[in-house]
Amino acid sequence: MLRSFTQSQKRLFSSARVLAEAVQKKHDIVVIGGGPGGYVAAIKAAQLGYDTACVEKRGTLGGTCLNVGCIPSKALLNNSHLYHQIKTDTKARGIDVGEANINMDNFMKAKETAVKQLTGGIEMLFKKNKVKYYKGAGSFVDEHTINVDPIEGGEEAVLKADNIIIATGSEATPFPGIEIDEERIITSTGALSLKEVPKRLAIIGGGIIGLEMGSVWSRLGSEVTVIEYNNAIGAGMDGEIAKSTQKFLTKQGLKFNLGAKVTKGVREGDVVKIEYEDTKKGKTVALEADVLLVAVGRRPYTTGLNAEAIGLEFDNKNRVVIDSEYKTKFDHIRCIGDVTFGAMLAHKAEEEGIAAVEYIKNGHGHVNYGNIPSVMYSHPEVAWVGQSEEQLKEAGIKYNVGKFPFIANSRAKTNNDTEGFVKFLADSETQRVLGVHIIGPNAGEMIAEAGLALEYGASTEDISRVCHAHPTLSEAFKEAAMDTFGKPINF
Amino acid sequence: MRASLAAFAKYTPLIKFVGGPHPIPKHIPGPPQPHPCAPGSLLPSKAGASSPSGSSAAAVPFESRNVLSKRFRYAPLEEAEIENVISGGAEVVF
Repeated sequence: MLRSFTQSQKRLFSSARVLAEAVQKKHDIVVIGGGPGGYVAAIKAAQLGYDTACVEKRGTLGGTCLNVGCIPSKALLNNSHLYHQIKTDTKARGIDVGEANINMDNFMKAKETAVKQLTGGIEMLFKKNKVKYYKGAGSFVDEHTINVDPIEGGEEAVLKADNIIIATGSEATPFPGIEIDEERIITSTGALSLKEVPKRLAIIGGGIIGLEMGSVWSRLGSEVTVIEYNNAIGAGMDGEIAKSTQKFLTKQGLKFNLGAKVTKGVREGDVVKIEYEDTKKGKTVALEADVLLVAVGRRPYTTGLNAEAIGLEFDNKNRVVIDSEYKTKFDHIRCIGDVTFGAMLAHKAEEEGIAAVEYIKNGHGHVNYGNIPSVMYSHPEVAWVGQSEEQLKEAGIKYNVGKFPFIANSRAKTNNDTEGFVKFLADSETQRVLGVHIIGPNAGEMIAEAGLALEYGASTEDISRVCHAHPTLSEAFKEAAMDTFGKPINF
Repeated sequence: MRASLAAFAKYTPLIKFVGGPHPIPKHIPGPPQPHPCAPGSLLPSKAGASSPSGSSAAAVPFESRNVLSKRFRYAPLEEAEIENVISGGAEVVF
């Protein structure tokens, strides 16, 4: 009895001590969420002299992007591309290789190593910049107080903050009526960690996530079928680029069912039975797959935030309502990234993280929402920034098109990697760059030059007057710019 | 090398850059403006007294890009485009 009482008292003292310590934790800025928006905001805030803390419950920093998104998918895309090249593209290059096989354990380990290094790297950056990292779930107690419910390795804490930045990100959108088990019916998270190559992979959604994951598993040997509700693939790509993308991916073996409305997706043993309505023919089609990937998008994530305690406002898509300075209904609580308005892209969240902190510091921040690039890391890559032809037509803006194919580019030729083209859209009067759309090798890197041009308000003549190194893929970029008002030299 | 440097020193680019570092316009507290991606210019309602720290209230002639004339404003993403990116190109079928 006495012993029991003593232990109980010890626990009580211990709790009281923790609480007492926790109450004393006060920070200038607390960021809830350690993804690309949150961790960047935290580092920037610390660099600007604020006593900054970041609360993250995943156990590792980097959010969806580093843990189960951009980074692991790029590792799989790169390594599956290498494997596919070795299997199909070495003979013509004069390289005789023996049989190439996938060692799935090591294939996944390579991905995990990249993820571990990068997420660990953020922890190092936090230490370097003196950002206090709380491992736990952050929830509002009141509008200036955050409770940290610790996970393993974390500490219990109650944080007082002058400013709070919500950056809790997003999660995969479920498909009504289809139950995810992350084994046979999976989200993108499951698609990054399959234990074996499925013979038949069906994908609901022909957007970036679906096509990237489809590319990975197709290269490894899966028969991939993409089921897309819209009549085009590509998540808002320029129409011409989307058609070319579909053509190249079809050549690689992916099958596309467009205008297809999925009505059923049920696991029966080790098989998934899917039905969709072919909206063009008006008939129901049934198909079977070993794995079904549901890639119909993402939705804002606020689980456990206890936002209702302070009356935060959400729109009808569950996005936190903010103003142009990222302020919620409370001036000192700002919100950035996937959990609020705008495209759910890591680099958009990063920009907002910086801007939100600059608003706190100076009352002035900067994000150009007309200049947010999009990239699909298929092969060939697809990248675009600015406006598409469809948007310009709808807005009644007169424009010129300039194009240059990689088949006429010397570096692409030497690399034997000539699929695709660069396409410029420029104001027909001023030659100002309005949009750039690239399908081809290295498109994701090349689009940065287009971003600079857009931001500086460059004309296509400006670009064509800049010396580009020879032989490089970027010469195709220059020649496409030339093509808007003149003629390219090499085509 | 020396010839290149000499040529560079004389060269006047056609693009006129403002240069940096850029002056930071001071913030004048004013009515909140909608986020460029907010549907229907949705704004948060205002809560009671809660003051942000660090913001300067010094008066200078800049308030927000959104109150400047249209040519200075960013072209907002259309809801359809945002939807497309968010949905990965697929639509949720109910």
